[in-house]
Amino acid sequence: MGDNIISIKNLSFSYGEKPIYKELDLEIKKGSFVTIIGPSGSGKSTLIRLLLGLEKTKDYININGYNLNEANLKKIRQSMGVVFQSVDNQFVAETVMDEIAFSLENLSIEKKAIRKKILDVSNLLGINDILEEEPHNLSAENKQLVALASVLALEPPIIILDSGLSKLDSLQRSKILTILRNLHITKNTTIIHVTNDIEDVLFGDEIIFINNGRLITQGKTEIVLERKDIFDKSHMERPFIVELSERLKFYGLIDRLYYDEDKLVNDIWK
Amino acid sequence: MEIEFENVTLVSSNVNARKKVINDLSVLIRNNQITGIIGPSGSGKTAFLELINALVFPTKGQIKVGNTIIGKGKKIEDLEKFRKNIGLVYQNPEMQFFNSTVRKEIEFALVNFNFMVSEKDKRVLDALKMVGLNESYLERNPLCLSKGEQKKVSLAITLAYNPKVILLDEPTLGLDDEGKRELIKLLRMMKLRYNKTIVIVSNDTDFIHQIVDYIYVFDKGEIAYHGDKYTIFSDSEIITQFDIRPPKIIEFVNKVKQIKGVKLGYRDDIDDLAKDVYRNVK
Repeated sequence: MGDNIISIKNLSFSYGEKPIYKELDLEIKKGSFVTIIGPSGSGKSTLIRLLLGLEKTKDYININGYNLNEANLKKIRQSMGVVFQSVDNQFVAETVMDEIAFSLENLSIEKKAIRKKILDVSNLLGINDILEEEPHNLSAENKQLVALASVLALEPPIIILDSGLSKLDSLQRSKILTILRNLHITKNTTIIHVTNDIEDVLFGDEIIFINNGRLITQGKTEIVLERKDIFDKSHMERPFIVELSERLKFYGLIDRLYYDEDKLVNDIWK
Repeated sequence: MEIEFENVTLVSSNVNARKKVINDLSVLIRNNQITGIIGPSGSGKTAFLELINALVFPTKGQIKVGNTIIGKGKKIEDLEKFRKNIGLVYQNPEMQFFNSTVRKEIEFALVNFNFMVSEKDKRVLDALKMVGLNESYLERNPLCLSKGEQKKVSLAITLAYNPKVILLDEPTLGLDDEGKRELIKLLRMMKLRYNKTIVIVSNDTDFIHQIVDYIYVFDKGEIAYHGDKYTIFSDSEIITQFDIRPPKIIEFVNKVKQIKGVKLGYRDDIDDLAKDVYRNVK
């Protein structure tokens, strides 16, 4: 498997009569930050459910060195922290503090260290003022942040967001994605972000583009974003800055696509 | 159908945290208009929709929805008829579903509102088509659909009984680009062709910018600002003080003004913006 933390070979999967994946091959390198995109219903979340063993398959999936099967399921799940779009059913504790502590207690970490970890992650995500509140009473965005905090506290080698930041508005999401980006750089955490908001791709290094259960393309973010054709075919837009620079390039004002607004503005009005 | 809030206060029912969710709010939502409500989390946006739908009742003041008056201790004469005129599409559609197929889910709403059996099939199919889903979805389990598809189904349920007022809570969450474009088209048609009154709660300002006629910015249960979209979005401080990002197209124009002193016009779409940039530079 080399330096791949996830590899999938020849995977086919269907929901009853409805085929989702057909002969899918996919590899995700250790320490990469990938964004999985594709139209709604293209199979993005199904892929995550397959990785977690929530959907059954006999085809080859290897995660963090373990083949996905019943015997390895526990070890595999321990290597992945996941935040879903709807997190309500996940909460077990009475307070946010206990909720974040819950998963750590299972790992028999001593109390003092647990407290420090909780404070660290809640400071990082800016949720220290809600630690005494009941998870069920929180707003949708705070629920997602608490779920993320629980994941970050465990420091898993793989963090998966399955539309896990979808309840956050774009400003908040940028802040969190910047935090995850730092984590990815400093700790070499593999981050897999499934999103419907195309602006999010600018935070990752790589894009996996899925449509109709097929891998359309996988590659460096900037390179995939140049492929206007595949976005058009899936009726998807590219990030605002890319769409704008595409038009300005057409007018001859610039000679390449831009991924940073300040850079674009400074180059145009020198 | 016009909606008028007259000095409405709503105190939360949570005994441990009695606070004013809505504070002495007076506002008139006009007929045949798309109104956008934006504001920080906890500012009372969702409560505002629930008050219109009479899911909660004001602690003080009253709300007129058409001829119906919603007030403390006032009983709505025919609640079923009232609710039939007000469609509320929730933020988390999956929490509403309890039938085994999409068809049954939509039919349930129709039966609830006493539609005739003979027109049921047609209404179900028409509603589904309006939101861009075809017949193949009829027999599928709503809980096995993607978030975007679930959102569409919940919109179809609302459209099926043809309410005069459509209330949408964060409708773009979980929708992909195509879903957003379809939603914009659909809401424009609902306004222009069917004269619906539409109220949208959303901090997706790119979406709001494309669709609304008038905006209210909520803060702490009150209206902090109101105006047409250019008034609200061109002054970048109005919404950024609440940590809400202006539409990207406006944000870019503001940025150019701020760092280069160049004034571009406020535009609705990216093609016009690009032309403005070209004219300015050449």
